Amino acid sequence: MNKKILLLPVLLSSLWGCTTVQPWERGDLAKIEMAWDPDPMKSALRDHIYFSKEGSSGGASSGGGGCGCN
Amino acid sequence: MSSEIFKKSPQGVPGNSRALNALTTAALAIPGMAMTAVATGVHAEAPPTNTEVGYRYSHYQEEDVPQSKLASGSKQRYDIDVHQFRVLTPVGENYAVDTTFDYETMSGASPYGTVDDGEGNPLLVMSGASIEDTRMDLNVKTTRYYESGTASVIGGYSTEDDYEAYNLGLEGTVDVNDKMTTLMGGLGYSDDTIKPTQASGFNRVTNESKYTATTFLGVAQVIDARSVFQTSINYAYSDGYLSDPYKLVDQRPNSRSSVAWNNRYRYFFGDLDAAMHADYRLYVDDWDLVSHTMAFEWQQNIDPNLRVIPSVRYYSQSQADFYTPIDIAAQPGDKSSDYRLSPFGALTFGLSAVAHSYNWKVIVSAERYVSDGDLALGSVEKEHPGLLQYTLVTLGFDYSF
Repeated sequence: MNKKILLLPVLLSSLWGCTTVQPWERGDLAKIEMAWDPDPMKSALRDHIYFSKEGSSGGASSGGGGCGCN
Repeated sequence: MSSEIFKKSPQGVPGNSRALNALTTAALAIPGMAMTAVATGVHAEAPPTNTEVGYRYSHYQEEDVPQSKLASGSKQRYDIDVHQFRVLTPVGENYAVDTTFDYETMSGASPYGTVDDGEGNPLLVMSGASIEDTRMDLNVKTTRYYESGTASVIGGYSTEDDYEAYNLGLEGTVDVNDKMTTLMGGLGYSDDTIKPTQASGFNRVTNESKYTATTFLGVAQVIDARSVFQTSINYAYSDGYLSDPYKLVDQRPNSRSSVAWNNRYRYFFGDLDAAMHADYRLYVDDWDLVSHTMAFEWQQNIDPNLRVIPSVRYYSQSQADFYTPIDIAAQPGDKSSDYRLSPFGALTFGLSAVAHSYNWKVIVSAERYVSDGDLALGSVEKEHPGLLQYTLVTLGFDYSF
């Protein structure tokens, strides 16, 4: 992989003062309650409801189809 | 986060950590533990080892329009039931297929537009309470897991009585920097067609379409042993028929570009055995609509089999540049009195409980949503009379085998 691309996260880590967290130290991070979306079905429904009732949308995904919500 | 992290045997690991590693790997062989590890997805995902099935039933009723804000039509707004089904299953050693199917039924009345109450303030014109619709939405996401990343292909189809949409997506993640950092990105495309239900006295379009292309780039970073942060930029472009054919007066531009900047932070409080979620999104588009969304969630473990999750979300948006509180049919150019393009703010309070054992979960959840002109960040001169309130309740389960 291109070294320049690899440099970006290293720079970001430096910026945040991150020290390497070893794999065996990541037990707390692996807990379900620490997930970005602990309940993907709940998140999907929320996103759909807000999409249909508010004027803005968009998240860290490629999105889905629209709806005729009126 | 993944079992892969634990499978790897880092160099120079002290003996007791090796033992812990072996123990953790053994623990991950237990179905419930493996399900938990796979579902987290914080960093360096691994393929699921079990099949997981899930079901959710949700119901919400939009509150009636107050008589004081109603000019004509029914005051009774939508009553909505949603059934969600999900199957996540491993295929071979390196693939997983995640299939979701939603079945949604709704009945009630919808805003047609607004009129002047005689003093310059808007009153709502509603449809009759006869609208009924069914929506079905199928999505299939196939993911290939690599040593340092993932690649996913997504396909979806949704249909309603008057609406049809096909969507495709490609997403990928790459783990770098000792798996402390995950780079992510994706592309999406949706092709939508609307064929409005016709009614006498209305001059509705018969068959219109639009497409939406999206792309996103993001980075997730392990900050320390207790916190992670993710930031991403999402760009979307829609082109085609973007108006609402059911409104009495509604003409919108035929394209829309938007940028959403999403930030998510997770922190684990070891002493409290709880995790805090803090999210912020900034959204801007070329209709001059700007919104801020802040969401906080507290995931509290009560005992090894019960988690309670209070949450609060705040949302505020400005109006679209062609929004008009009161419909003026003769006004030239783009115009809409849709409450979703009006300036307002909203609060959501939620409370969920998740009871779980080694291979099942039961979920109970309730949310209260309130939107109001007074909740907006800026001052709202004329609040839209159609702003919503609703209470959402959800019951569901997950089972792994």
